[in-house]
Amino acid sequence: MPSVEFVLPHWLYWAGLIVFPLIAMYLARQIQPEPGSRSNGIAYFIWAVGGFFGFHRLYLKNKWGILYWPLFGVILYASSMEREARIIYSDAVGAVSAIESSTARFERRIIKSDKALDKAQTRMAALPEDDERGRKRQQRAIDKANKSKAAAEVKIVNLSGELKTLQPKIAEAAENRKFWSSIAFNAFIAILAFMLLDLFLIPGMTRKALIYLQTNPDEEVQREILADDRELAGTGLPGVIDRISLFTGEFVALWSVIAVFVYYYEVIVRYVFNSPTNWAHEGMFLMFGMQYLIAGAYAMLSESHVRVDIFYANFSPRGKAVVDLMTSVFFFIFAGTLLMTGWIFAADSVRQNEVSFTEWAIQYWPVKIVIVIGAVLLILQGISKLMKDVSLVIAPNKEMTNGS
Amino acid sequence: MGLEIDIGWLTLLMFGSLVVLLMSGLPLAFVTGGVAVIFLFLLGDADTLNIVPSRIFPLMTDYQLSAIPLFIFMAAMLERAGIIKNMFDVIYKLLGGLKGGLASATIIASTILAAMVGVIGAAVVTMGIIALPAMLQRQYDPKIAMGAIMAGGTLGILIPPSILAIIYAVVADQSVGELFVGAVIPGLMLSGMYIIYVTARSYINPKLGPPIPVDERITVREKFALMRKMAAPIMLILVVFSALFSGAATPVEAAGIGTFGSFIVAALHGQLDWRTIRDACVTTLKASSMVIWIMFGATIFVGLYVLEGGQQFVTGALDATGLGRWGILILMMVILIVLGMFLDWVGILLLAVPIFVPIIKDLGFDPLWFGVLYLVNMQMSFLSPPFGYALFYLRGVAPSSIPMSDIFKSALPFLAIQLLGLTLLMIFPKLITWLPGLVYG
Repeated sequence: MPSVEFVLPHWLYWAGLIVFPLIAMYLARQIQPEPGSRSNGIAYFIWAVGGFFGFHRLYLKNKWGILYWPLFGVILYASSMEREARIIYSDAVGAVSAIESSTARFERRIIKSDKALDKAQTRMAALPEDDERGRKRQQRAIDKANKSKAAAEVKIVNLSGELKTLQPKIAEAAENRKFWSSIAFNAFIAILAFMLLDLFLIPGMTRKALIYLQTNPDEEVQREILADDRELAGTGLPGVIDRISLFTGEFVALWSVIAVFVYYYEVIVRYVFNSPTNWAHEGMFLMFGMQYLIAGAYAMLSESHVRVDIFYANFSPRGKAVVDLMTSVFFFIFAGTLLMTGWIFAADSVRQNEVSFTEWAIQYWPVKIVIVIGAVLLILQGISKLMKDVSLVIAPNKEMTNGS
Repeated sequence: MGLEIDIGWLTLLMFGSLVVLLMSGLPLAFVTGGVAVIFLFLLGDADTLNIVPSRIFPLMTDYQLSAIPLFIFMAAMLERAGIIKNMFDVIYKLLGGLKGGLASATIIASTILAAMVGVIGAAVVTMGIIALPAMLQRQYDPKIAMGAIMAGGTLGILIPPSILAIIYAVVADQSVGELFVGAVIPGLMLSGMYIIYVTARSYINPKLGPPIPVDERITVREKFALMRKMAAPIMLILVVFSALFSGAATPVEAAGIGTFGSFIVAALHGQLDWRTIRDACVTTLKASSMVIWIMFGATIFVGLYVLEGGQQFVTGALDATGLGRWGILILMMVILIVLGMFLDWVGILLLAVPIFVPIIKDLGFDPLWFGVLYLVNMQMSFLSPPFGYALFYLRGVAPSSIPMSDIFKSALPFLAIQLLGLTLLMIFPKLITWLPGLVYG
């Protein structure tokens, strides 16, 4: 299998975070296809992201899509076998190099023993016939050198025996690796070929699916009606602030879609191509981190922050406004502190041009600036709520301005 | 300001002001955050406040936490595409012929739903809308019907992918995957106990849960046709679970696979368009930011409390009760149940768990095991009158002819079952620890 070495450039990451939500927001405001219908556009989209699994065919009511699954199963299995063989191979290679270095060590010992032997033998030859003690001493040295030499030789033989068992193992692992890799690659090529073929067949399949659906419509799916949050926006200045929160909230909400495809990419390159990325996880958790912060204001506008409403729920709207005005002090203390300290925190980071301690080394300072942005949005939303509460307390009978 | 306050008094002041502000309806995230900032300033000075962003930033860069929006997104996508509603219809039709079959179907459906959705509100509301009228129409006893809906709905926080389990794992420094795996047997056990209960009651007294008339039942062939409609979402769950439980993918990757799968499932049902996606995104945003902002506030609050010696204070107070390690564990469980009557579950977790977990470790208990006990315990908090959330979710969608007292009463037998389950899990820890040991070694 070829390995995939794509590293997301930093500029593309940041640009994607800014541009993608705008495109998605635009598309979501267009006329949507009738639920239950089939279109070429979505078929091609599914082809692009899930074509490996034949999902585009299943989408178009074509059962042959299931044929992709065994092929994909083959790729997954072969890739995992290749991964295993690669581990065996590298372990065995490591063992071989360990054996080689100890063999070298024993060879050095043999040379050393040989030298000692030579030395002892020359000394022995130089000794007078009657020097029994000297002879005995040299004899001991010779025996010792011989013994150490023999031991080293035995070791070398043993090691070379091990080496002999390892070499076929390495050869086998390398063979396996090649084998499974080629199987994975062939299955991959087969899937690609099928996908390429489908590229041209999709319009025809769509036509067929539409004809089929005319006679056998899908069972109707009931969708719950979701309240439109845009109706939460008030009028006047609070309304302007509300719309800012709505916009920023929707903007960051759409980031979740990016995560879906990035994780998909990560999983595919890891388990199919055996080459995990170094940026997908980090990029995504940082993105979500920024999302939480910016979403605070939207959640406040849509009353998503949980409260204990044992008593609160029973108050009149005016009573709620009065209580909210009093408790808002604590809200502003928290949000204000977050803004001030967040500012110091972010400013430090900007000054150092802080990046993460990972291989990808993405800029950290924009993430920290988001704390400030989130706090500003939250305070603005707090001001909007404050203004609505005040006007409700002053003129309780006037039409309510918060739209609810 | 650098005030010196005795830790006993500080406990009273901090938690006292917390309770007062909570009761006046300020959202939990801002209550904990606001009170913490004020006490930070009182006990330290303006510079001490700088711990606020340095406690929040680690949460923003937490790898495990990103599983929360992803799992919520997966559920929201399936829900917006109408697939969850579909599923209920199918399971009803499949099990309608049995005595008490609709009630069992409700519980099975919620168990499957729990495997897609990590938060409870959705389950209770959805089933209250679909299952309750269906059961009442078939002359089911309202108490059995409502109890099954509520008890089934609470399974969402126990059966993976539970959002609460992810937060527990992050707060208590445990592995999300192990906690997920550990919750499987207890979840299925509880679900099974509910089903046994409703079936037994219906067999003893068939008036409580009559089977639907023979001529309304469907044939085996129709059953197979129906099963095929469920194939895509069920396969999605299987894929996510096998990714989780084979240990091949991290929980976050499993969540990523799940969200991608939910796109595909929505597309296969012809429900994928940009407005659905946008709506699912916004639903996700609201749910996840609700959870995470409580974490922001509570991490500062609890961080400050622990820093001021709250940990030793609580440990000392628990030791002073003279209870043994099991006594203290049971006392903790009781405290959690009581807190659960009033406070939101994320709030309880973030306020109590960082203080309890070190004590649990000191007592020689397994924090993983405690985590699952905690999850089961939280189920009880959802059902316990007077303020259990499930009761009010159901109140919102039940017909007004049913009095609130009936809803309360219907929860009681299921509360007893949960208590029994909790006790079993305490006596036989293997029920929790066996499966994670098998998967993770």
